[in-house]
Amino acid sequence: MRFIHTADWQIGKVFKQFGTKEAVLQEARLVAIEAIGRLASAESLHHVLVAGDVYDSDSPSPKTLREPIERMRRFPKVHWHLLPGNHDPHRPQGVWDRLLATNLPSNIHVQLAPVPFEMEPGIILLPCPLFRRSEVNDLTSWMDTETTSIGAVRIGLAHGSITGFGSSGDANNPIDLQRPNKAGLDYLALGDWHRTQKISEKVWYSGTPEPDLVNSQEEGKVLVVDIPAAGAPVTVTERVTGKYQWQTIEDTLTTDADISLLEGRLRAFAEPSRTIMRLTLRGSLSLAGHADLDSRLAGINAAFFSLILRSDELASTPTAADLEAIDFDGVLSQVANRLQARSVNLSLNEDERQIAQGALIELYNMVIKSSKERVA
Amino acid sequence: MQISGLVVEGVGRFGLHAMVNDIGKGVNVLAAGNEAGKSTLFRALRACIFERHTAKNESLRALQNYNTNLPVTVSVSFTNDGHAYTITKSFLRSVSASFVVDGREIAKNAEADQMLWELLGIQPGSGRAVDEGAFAMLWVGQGHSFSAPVPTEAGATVLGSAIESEVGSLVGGERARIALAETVEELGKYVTEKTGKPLAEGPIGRVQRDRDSYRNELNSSLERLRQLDTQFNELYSAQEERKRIANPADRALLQQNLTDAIRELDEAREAVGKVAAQEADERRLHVQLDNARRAYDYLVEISDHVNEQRERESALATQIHDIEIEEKRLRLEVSSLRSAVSDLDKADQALLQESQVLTQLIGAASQFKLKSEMEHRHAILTEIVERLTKAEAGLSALKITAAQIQALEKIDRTISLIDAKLASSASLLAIKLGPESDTEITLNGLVVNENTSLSVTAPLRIGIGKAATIEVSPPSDFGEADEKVRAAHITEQQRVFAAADISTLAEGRIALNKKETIKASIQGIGAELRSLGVVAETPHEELIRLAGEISRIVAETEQAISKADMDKLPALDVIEKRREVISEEREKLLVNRKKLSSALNEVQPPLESAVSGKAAIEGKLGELRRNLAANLIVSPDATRHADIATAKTAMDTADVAHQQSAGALGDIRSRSPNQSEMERLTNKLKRLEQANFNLGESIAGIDKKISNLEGQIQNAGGDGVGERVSGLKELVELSELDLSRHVNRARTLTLLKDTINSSLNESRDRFYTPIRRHLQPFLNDLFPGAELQLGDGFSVDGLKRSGASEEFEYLSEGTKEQIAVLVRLAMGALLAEQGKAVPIILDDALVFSDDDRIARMFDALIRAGKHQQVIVLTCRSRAFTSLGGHLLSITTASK
Repeated sequence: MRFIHTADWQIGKVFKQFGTKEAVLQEARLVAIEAIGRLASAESLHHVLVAGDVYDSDSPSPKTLREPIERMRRFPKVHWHLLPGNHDPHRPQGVWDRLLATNLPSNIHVQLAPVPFEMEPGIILLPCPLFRRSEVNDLTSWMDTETTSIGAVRIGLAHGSITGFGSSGDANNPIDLQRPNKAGLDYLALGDWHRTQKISEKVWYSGTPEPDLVNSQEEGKVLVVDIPAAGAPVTVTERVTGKYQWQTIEDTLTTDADISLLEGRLRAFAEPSRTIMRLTLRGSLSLAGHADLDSRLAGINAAFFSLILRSDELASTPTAADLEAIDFDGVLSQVANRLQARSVNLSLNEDERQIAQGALIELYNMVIKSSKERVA
Repeated sequence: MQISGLVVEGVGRFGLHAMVNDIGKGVNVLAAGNEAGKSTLFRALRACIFERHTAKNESLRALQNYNTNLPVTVSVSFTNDGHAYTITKSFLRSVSASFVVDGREIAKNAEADQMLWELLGIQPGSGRAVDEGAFAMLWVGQGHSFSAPVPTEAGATVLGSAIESEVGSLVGGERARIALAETVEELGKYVTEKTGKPLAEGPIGRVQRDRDSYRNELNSSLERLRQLDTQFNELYSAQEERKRIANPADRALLQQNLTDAIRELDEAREAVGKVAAQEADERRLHVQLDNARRAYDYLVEISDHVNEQRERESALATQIHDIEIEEKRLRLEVSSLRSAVSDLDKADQALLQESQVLTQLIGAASQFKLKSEMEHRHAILTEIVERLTKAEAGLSALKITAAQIQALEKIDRTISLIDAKLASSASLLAIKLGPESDTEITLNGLVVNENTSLSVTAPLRIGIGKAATIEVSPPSDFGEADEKVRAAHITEQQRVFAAADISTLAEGRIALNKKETIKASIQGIGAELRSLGVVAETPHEELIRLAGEISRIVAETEQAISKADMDKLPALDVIEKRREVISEEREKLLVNRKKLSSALNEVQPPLESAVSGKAAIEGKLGELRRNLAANLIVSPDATRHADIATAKTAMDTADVAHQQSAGALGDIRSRSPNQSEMERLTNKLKRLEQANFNLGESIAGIDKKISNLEGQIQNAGGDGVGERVSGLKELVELSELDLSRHVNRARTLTLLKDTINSSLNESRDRFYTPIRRHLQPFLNDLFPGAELQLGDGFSVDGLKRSGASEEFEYLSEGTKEQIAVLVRLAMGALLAEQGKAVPIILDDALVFSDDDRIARMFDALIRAGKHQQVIVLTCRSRAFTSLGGHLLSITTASK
């Protein structure tokens, strides 16, 4: 038995910080479904298990509700098994009832009750839908007592956090790490964690097919699971489906040379136009270095799909040359000195010091700009 | 530089030479009246120093003297660094320039211009205008002394270099100002300049509005989401509750209990029904017993009645026989009396009829007597009516009235007067006939037989036989007006004649007299009628009434005669006599009838008593016999005793049967449920039915609630509120970040602005120190203890005295002028101290100063004059007398 394990599509998720590019990222999540469909078709995989959080919200708009369905409809030979997760729990008249009322295609199966579902003869799916956002009990426990015919392949499908594994998802829906042993599962397909992670030979988080967070999954993936027979070893293969990468770079800048190195790192990305980059900078630069950094980042920013800059902790340390560039011995020199003194005055709070630092950079940029204009 | 002399030619009012000589050190005063040419000389001085000799501008043309064709020529003598200089320029015509140093011309024309400027440190620049530098600050033209000095670029340079030689340079001041301006401009995009609050339409204001809008919508959406969540929970709870209360086992048990209760109640009701049936049987047997008992009692009672009725029947028959004998006797007596009375009544009736006929005859005789009187009155009235009719016909034929006669008489008089007037004014025609003539003379066709004279008021034709016709006419316009009046009267006369139906006035008078006579006659007839009791207007009706009365009397008389069966009406006395006889006979008959009636009344009561007594007894007897017959039908004599014995037996049998049924009833009753038990079973059934109903209601209620919640959830969930909430949360966060970024940038710019301002002010204060040092003594002369606040570009911002600052613009005009002059004196002093002395020239300054202030200003001018040349031009000789100084005068060619 071979099938695809995926989860956390979170269709309808908003990306307001990207402004007009929000729609692009939303569309990418739908395109990822098509990528899964194509993968299934190409490899003759007849089942796709979606381990929860198909939707980002349990009250999506009518358009959002139907969009993934229409994408799945295009692959009629593939059976899509959808499971309510903590983002879209199954509640009466909720998102799933609304979905059922849309007359779903026959190849889409919504698993709304903890009852066995025979995917194929001898292949039993044991789904664990969530009925609320947060469950305190392990909803997979029912599998322990649910008997199936001898020799049947038992596949668990659940959404939550494996307990005792150090990390947890964004909902308190515990799942016992020993569940495959207790319930005699051949495989437990999990969703909730937005990163592809192997918990044990039989327990995997597939991650999301299209990433949506920084400091999380960098690349969208699904898992191709192969269960030769009941009790046989399982083979799990990661396959890339996402279009956009969510990368994070943290760097400490102390000299102007560091700026060039940083630029080199950023420009080394193969497909910046498909990369959402969060750049966190620390350290301290001269005023000229700041101006240089700003200038270079302006270009780099245009190369990336999005560049999220965090430079709160990047200080400015004016050099003598900076101050001379502002004014050698005149009024502005006095202004620069005063702002500099204020930016390091520990009797002021951090916020006031940063404002002073900003004013100094502002002055520097203003003077430099005027100088360039005069030269021009 | 110190000016020593000024000579002009062809300038203003000075056609030929005019000069001011002996201008010395210190304070010089040129006092002259208005239009003496002071300001013209001052402008000529400026032109000579600062204008190119080839210049041809408006200010130069304004200097021209139009009475001469001389060029505008100005010559200025001055000393500088121990040398004597003279610069002479001729403008507009025969232009030239000459620069003489210590008596020797060293340059001419353009070179002269250039050398002069180089000497005075003036940079003419590439343009045609010359920056007057320090001179522009210190040479104050008429009307310009009220403004604080604003140095030109060159002037500022001169001042700046003078200051910098003392305190060093103000480096970067201009850059700081540019940076400040840029900062303020940039900051102005965020906050207001005055209050520093965010601009409503600035980035902060916009982001704040966006954030607030997002927050409000987010709160609203969150509330909707919370409601949705609550509805989800409520729906879940409701569904769980429904599962609980709709538990099939519980419902089956309830249903079984209900079925059992129905069965128990049915069984109880069946038992109760058996009791009821036995009770009905017992009641039926009881009725049978009662009936048997009543039948027996009835037969016994009938037997007793029959015996009693037979005894009473015999007694009543005896009483009836005795009454019938008495009744027969009384009836015979009554019949006899009634016959006698009848005879009397017939006789009286005959007499009465005859009496009535006689009464009618009397009436007819009386009426017949009136008939002849009526016929006589009718004849008189007929004659009077005929006369009246004739008189009225005559009167109506006469239409003339007295008014018409009066009108005609007035017309006649008027016409006569007109005729007389015409006649008197007309020619007189006289025809005198000869003694004999065969010729017929006619006048207007009438033969004239005698001498005739006639006024010719109208054409007259005089015929003289067949020989001729002579026509005499009045003039064509003769009496035209009178004729018109006359014709009008004639027309009126004819109209009245026609109305009165007469042809002449005389005829009218006759007719009017006749009319009056007829009227008098009619009045006489009316008097006759009234004497007959007839109203004049109704004589005809009276005639008709009399004729009718006569006819009626005749008819009634004939009818009375006919009724009396007579041929004619007898005499009235005969009739009266017969009526008396009849009356006496009727009186006798009446007496007899009263006697008979009295006898009849005595017999009638015993007869009526006998009849009624017999009828009463017969009624009783009849009733008795009917009852007896009925009793005998029920109980015939032949079977009575046997019937009574049979009834007695039936009664005893029924009694036994009833007692058996009553016993059975008591037995069943003791075994059936009582009332209390029935109530208990009924209540139990009701309770279970109510419980079943309540359960159904509860399920229906929950189903309704579930349905409502489902509807609400479908509505709320369908519009994507959760999706919207996620978006709004991000928008709020982003707008908060954006706001923070804008606020921090505004704070950054504010700090930068404040820091630049602060540094700039400090630098400026240091830069102005030399000016303040020179200014302070002058300021003390006028405003002891005061301090002047200088702004950018040597501008005067305000005056601080007694601890309070006053903006320069809001000072009085006099104070502003005094301060402006003092600042100039200070600047002059600064330049003089640096060896760059420039004369101070004040043209008609201090015009608003009061006596005290002007005296103090003189002290200040004298103080300035110690180190530099001061030239004061004034038209107020007396006021400036106390200034002292060196007095100047204008010397013209004639002098």
